[in-house]
Amino acid sequence: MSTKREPSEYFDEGETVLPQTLVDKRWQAIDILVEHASGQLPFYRDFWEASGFAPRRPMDAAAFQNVPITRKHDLVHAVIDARSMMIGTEALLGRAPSNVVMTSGTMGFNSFAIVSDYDLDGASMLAQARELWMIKVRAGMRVLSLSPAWHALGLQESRAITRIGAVPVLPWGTLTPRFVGDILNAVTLLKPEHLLITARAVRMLLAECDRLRLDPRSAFASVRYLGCAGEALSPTFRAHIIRRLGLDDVFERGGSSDGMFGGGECHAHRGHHISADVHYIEIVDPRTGATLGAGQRGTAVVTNLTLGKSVYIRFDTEDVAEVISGDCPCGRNHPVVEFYGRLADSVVLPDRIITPADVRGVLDEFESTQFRPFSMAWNKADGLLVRVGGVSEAGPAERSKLEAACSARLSIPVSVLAGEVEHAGWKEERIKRNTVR
Amino acid sequence: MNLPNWLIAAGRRVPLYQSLPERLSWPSYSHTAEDLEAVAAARDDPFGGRHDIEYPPDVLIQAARGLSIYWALTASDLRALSTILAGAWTSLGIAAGQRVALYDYATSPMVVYASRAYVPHLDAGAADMLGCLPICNDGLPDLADRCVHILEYVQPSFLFIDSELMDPLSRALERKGLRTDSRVVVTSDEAPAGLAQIREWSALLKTDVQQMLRADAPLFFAPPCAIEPMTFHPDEGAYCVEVLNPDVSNALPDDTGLITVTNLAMRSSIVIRYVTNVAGIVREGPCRCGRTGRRVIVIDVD
Repeated sequence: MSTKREPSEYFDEGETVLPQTLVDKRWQAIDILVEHASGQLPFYRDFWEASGFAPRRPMDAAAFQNVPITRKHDLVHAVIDARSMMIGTEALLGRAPSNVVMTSGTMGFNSFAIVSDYDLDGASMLAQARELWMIKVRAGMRVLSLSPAWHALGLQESRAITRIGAVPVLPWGTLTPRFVGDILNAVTLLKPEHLLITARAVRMLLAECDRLRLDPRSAFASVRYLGCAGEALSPTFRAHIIRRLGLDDVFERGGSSDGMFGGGECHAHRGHHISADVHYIEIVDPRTGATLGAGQRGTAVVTNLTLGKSVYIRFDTEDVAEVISGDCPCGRNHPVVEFYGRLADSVVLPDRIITPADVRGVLDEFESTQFRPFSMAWNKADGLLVRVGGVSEAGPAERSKLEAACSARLSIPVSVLAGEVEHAGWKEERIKRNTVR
Repeated sequence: MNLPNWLIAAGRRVPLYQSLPERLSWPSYSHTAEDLEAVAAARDDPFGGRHDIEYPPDVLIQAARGLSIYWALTASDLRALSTILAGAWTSLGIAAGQRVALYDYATSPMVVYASRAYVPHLDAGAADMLGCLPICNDGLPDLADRCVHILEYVQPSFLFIDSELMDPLSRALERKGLRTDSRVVVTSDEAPAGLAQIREWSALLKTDVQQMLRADAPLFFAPPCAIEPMTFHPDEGAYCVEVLNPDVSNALPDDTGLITVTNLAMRSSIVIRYVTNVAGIVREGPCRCGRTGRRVIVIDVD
């Protein structure tokens, strides 16, 4: 494994620690974590007891497989039962809590988490600073950031920008259409070199440039890099953003307010490097609960390896992901995980999982469906129905080509229809499934 | 009123105060939001001519909603503003160990200076200084249900809320058949609510509703008097408040005029006599609540 790169390429030496050292430290951390949880954290103590699990030390890969998986609804029920944001997952080690954050509420109910300065200035800040450094944020650089204050990763981003010494550009509001003018103004007036926004915001900004008849390359002339969160970017969309905005590079960012972890791409764009000394990500088969190896899709199950906050232990994020195998050309030894979207938006077949990202990738290769909103509906008899929103309908020949390309890529029958889609935007592209096998 | 020498020197350095139109009846340096925009446009200056380049900024942040003027602030400015906010929170009765909810945008001054985790380069926000535990909802009206969720499960002692969000919040509480025990503090950028409105919200929510005076373009916030209605006590070390009658032909009663703010706390962005849209009176001398110094009495908009 290469460690011969310039030191400035990495945020800290911890990024090139030998893989076996990372593994050894992981089990040491998990050993401490599980002992602490079973003794000090009522949620895990009761949940594990009810599941018939008794921790056995020392913790290793085999023993850890027996730790029950925590799901979102377990946390939601705990909040409802306790009628409190505090549910017994708070491993604060006697430190004062500094902030309350929320999950994104994908089940229609936000659970809460507590963080302390120990965490915000410690492990979480380190992981986030590595991510920002990886995507080329540097000291003194103007970086447009509009992180929500309810989101753990937003708080971590704030502390990481401080640690790196970048100069944040903070336009008013939030990443919604009503503030797109403010965001565009911030770009043209303050000339940031880097943008930390969502893919949805990029689409909004491009549409606003079109509306104002503004050349995006001119409006975004100062911007070299884009850190893009919120969805998996198709290769076509990535190239489109780079071309239209005149960027040096686009980096996908990803993570979850549920589980309070994240990671970004390095220049190799193979997936998200997850700091293995801060979080442990397993990929678990949603059909069987078995842990899967590299190259196999399942849901990302996260375990936080450090304390000083609400901790998530074998928490199923319900995001479809896979570990990417092989050494990374960037020289970092932390695992690379690729995220594909939410399990609830995907089709789970006996032998594979089809995500909206898979369909998006094909649709974006055709001009008539490029970057358009769509919805998916699975029916065992007819296959996958993809309804593409927007005004222009593809002709029969184009539609036939599109269906053939989707069917070939996804290895299932696919029908494509033009029509109204209830929502425009990635996370709103909810799949309507009749049956799931 | 005499301005400190350092401020006059800084005012001479930055472009804004050399570019103001002549207004003979106005005290020197007085300016409005429109002046900031005019200077910004004329000089291609996103800071509206207020940034003192002797202080390289750590943070660039939009000054107010709908106003494309930016603050260029240093870490010590951020700290100073958080100290003012902490003082306002203390006046409202917020103490260590309490939970404080914020229903506003992350870039609102009510949020930015509340926690060191909400803005880069701030070493301690108001909550950190007082030992409180903050939680922030976003400021979108359609997130009122989530604010109710916060009230229900976090049970904050105080909720700070932008006044435009009071109706969505009231409706969300009503829909869910819930009420809150949190004390509610309403703020609004240069548009304070009237006494009748505050009382109506109080009755509707069945809880104590108070108002904090806020003007974002001069980064001004002042807590309410505990006794006198529509009266606010700005931090004397941080602000100099005056009254300006912008139009001598417009006969405002007595010594009423527009409240004008000089910010004494910031060094990297210079605010001298920003003329707000808030009509009121400035009084000196002891207040019935026991506080001394200048206080602002807002003309009741009702």
